[in-house]
Amino acid sequence: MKNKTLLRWSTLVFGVFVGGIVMITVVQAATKTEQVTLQLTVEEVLAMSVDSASVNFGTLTPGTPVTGSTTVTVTTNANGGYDLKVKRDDADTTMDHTSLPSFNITDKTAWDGSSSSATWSGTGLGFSVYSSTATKNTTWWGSGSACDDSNNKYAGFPSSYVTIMDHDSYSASSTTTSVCYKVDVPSTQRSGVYDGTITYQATSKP
Amino acid sequence: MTVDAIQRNVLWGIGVALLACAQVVFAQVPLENDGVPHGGVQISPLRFEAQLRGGEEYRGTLRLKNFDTEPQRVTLEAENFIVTEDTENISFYPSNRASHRSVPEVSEWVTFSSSQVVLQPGEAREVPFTVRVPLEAPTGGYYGALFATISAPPSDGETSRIAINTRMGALLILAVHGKEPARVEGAMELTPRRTVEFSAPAQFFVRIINSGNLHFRGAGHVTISRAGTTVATLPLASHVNYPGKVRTYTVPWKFRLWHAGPYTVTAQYESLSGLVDLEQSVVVWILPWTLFALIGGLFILLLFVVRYIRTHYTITRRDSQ
Repeated sequence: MKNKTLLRWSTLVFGVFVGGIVMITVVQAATKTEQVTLQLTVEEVLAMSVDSASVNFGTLTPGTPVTGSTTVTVTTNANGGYDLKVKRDDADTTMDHTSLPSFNITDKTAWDGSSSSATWSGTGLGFSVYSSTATKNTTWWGSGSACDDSNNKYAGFPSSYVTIMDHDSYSASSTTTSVCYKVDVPSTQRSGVYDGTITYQATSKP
Repeated sequence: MTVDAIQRNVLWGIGVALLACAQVVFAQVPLENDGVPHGGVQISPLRFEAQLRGGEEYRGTLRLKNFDTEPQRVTLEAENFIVTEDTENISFYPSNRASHRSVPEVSEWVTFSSSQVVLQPGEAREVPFTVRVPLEAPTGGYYGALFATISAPPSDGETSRIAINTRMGALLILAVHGKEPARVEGAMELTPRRTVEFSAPAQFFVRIINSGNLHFRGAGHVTISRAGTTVATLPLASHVNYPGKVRTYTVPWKFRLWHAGPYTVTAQYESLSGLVDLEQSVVVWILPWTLFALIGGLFILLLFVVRYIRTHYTITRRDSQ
């Protein structure tokens, strides 16, 4: 009597194959992933501050210049960078005699945005951009790197906003621009207290 | 334990304690330049762009935040601006400047809900504003800026000083559609620095000329291809193109030694509205001098090798021996 074959090899292989496919399908269904898209738009912002709201020159002896400085910090994510401009607020000169405003301290040749700066000589009030972590234009302001550097080029404050620092690219961190003020007067300058106001302006590129 | 050893141990102990204190103190000092303002006032957004008809109104919100440790008084005002011919710079002018009175001024159309706000330390405030376009405003681009000014405290009258104010501006870029037809149109000029470039980077100048009477915002790219295969795609960033002005993009391409040959450079530029669609191509030759130097060097080396062989060896045909 022949033994009866209960399970053929081909049936076993076929069964395992089908079972495998079923298991893979079940596992895939159980581990199905869904993608979620996260999207946001970061708005352009600009923050500006100065290290001090005023620069005090103390007492000036005619013939011996005094200096002071301001650091302007701009934090912006503007893609095209930003412009930093400055102007004096008074119509004729930057600093007037506090109690006799018709007496002024003469300004150096007003900054024209390209070429009116010069190394320090004589008397007057001038300013120079002596360093910037954004963009320093050494053609405009000379190669000086400190406020009292003799290589600084100075100009007078203009009566309308003129660019003193032109930064045309995105910055991943805050940028600082340091401005030096230098003033000397002739011995005939009326004695007393003088003051004035300047305004720094920061705007994104057009 | 000797006296010296005790002293040494005490000094070591003090040193370790100082290091521990320094660790605690400096760990709490915020990063100086972490991208977060550590003073002053912040404004956002930096530009408002809108398309309006005569008689329509635009409502916007300027956001202010005080990052200072002191309260800040912020004065808000609107001015107008014009861009320079190359659109690189802006000149702002208040509405009372006589030389510009012949054109309608956007600064006169702006009203802030409040022209002065006092921000406490850390306070953020939204300042709504409205722009009302006059009914009879001619078709054109109108450009202004919303300024936030922080003024220095007044002088005490006893010290010679310069007070320092700061002000930040957000641009207001309006296209007004009046009775006159609006023309949003432009042209493109693509010029290479040289038609044959020997040293990298090659430079291409893409000039977008706005010949219409309204501004348009556009963006594009420059593709550099050879025999139908693109080897580089360089972006032309999104910018506003002002009527009557030219915006120049300088596009550098840092080619490599193996890029020698002729290339087709194609600039494509499209306005967001799709009304302006510009394309232009030029052919440039890339002949890297380094490649010539390499070939020249190899040639000289070959000459030396040939000369050496000729000097030291005799080359004869096998059948002649």
